[in-house]
Amino acid sequence: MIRKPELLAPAGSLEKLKWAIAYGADAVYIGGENYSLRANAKNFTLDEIKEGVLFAHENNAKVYVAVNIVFHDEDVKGLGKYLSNLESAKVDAIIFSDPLVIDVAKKYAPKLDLHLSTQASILNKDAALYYQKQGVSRIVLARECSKEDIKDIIDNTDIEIECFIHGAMCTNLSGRCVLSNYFTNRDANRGGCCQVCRFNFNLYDKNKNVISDNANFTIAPKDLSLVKYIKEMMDIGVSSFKLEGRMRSIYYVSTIVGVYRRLIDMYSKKNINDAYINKAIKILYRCANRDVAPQFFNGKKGKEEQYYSERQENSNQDFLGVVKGYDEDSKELIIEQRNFFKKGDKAVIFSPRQDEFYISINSIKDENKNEIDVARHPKQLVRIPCYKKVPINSILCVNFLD
Amino acid sequence: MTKMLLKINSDDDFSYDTDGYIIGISNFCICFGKTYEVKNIKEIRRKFNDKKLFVSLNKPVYNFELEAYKRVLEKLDNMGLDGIIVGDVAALTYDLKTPVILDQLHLNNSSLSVKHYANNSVGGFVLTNDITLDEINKIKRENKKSLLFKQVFGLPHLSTSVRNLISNYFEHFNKNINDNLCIISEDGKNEQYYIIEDYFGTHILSKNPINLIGILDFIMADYFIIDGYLLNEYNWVVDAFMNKDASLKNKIDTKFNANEGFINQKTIYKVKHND
Repeated sequence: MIRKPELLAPAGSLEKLKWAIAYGADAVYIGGENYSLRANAKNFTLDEIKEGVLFAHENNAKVYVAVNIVFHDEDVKGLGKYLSNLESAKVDAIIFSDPLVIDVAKKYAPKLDLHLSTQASILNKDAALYYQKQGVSRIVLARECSKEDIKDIIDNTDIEIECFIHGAMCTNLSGRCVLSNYFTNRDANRGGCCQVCRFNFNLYDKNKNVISDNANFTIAPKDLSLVKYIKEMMDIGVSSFKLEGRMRSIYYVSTIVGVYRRLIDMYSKKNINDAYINKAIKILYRCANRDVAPQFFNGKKGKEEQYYSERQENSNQDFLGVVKGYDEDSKELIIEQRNFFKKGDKAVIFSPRQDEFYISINSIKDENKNEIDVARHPKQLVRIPCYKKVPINSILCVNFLD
Repeated sequence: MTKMLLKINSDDDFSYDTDGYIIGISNFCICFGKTYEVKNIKEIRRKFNDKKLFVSLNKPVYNFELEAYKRVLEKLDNMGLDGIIVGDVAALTYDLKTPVILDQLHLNNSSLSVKHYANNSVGGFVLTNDITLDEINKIKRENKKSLLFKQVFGLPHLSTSVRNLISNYFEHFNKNINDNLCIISEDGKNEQYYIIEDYFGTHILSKNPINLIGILDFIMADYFIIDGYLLNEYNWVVDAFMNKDASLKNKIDTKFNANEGFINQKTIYKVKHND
């Protein structure tokens, strides 16, 4: 069996943490109320961090807390106490980008493992060695590293290497971008990034002659997906496969965690199922709201990794509902509605750590068991017949796999 | 007393009688109008032996470039330079004799991060343009032995990407244009920004220079940097800065549409309040 890498999932809330672990994450990364680069997300209170760690450890998973802002002096106050609290909460590691965190952690929370964030943009083995010497146990490499870079860094250091395998990308080198500061006064490196790289621009030559028409110049990148390179990433010894998306939905996180869990397990057992690989690609691409590309993994600065005009994001209504229970007597699933569906629709159910399961919605009943034709209200509880017991927190989706 | 350094963007810049120069090393620096080979540096050192001389390798370094990077640094280390400016912490592992000055563009914004690197053999820091005067001065008060470099005139750097954002666009739309320097503006907004593509990738700079001539006496830096990158007719500005002639502040502001950047303006980052 090939050594299994860790599957590391984003968790923007306690609820998402539980879903990610249920769907197969070996570890999750979260942000506290301060010091995290998602300053405007619903981040974790200390009590929620404790609860999350407890839940994770009970399920053999780990919790890493992002402390990854670039600090200004005014931000440092309280950091020592905060790190000490994280250590007491038995957090497994912190993810940092500012080297001052190393020194503060050594003083106030010496047992905390230190993971260097991709925000530090580590591209080479000597930079990795600098941080290894500082006692850092893991480095999240810059997303601009190629397969050869990653392998060489792994082969020539004695430090765990974590790589992003799926999710949104920055156009610019992480940490080397303050577009947000200048466009909106929101500090990119302190969690306020307003994603200027998703804006539309007018492009002019240096003499102010218009080149682009109707603001159709963008610098927006497509998302990253290394779904086709999982085996190669495992072969070169990447320790942790990271999924981007602390701001993403439960549906998105659960789906991508479930798919990558299955792929990693499949490759580690050398039990390759080509049909599933194709299906996995279909699920992941459908789930994303942007096009995907392997970005820099193959070592080329190509043209296919970005958009060239207008914002290109799609939302879909594939997520039909969440399984809240199963009535064994009537053999009905109890579903909490998320998007419109109707009698006669075909659906697929994704369950934690199980094969997907296809179902025809032959009838729909409301909470009072009255027959209805459509489930049209968000959070509405409905019943649909299903001969097979399906675990709670399974996801009912439009069947896009046929 | 704070010394005035001029970033060399063309050979003509050597004609300015500033206290010293910052010279970009080919293939290892970004946002320089002119770069020089290592072999040129020895001669420049000899010619300007009364000047402070710093070389800049301010870009992040790819793994495949490491051997060449190390070789270049080792050669530069024996040229009697006043400092080597680096953008990648890989250089901190090479035991260089020459003072190493860290320029990570927008990182190292606090006293403690400066202290961290100072304890790991870094002699000085090119400060980011995104911090305030109070923050700069606190960093100096807490790190008296570290040399601080602050850009006081020139276009602030906003971002660096390894992607070819301009040429890819031209190719995608079959535009027969070879410009590597363009201007962008957000739709419906007046502010303009330079976007420039080079061997490394694409950089965005503000089109409005920062001009700190009015507050030079208040900035606790060891070196001020004047940078005429992408600007024209700035010879009188260099003179103004050498003379610390604050009376020319408005003239400079008007001519270049300059401002003081974030020197008196804090950035924000929490815009939502969770319940």
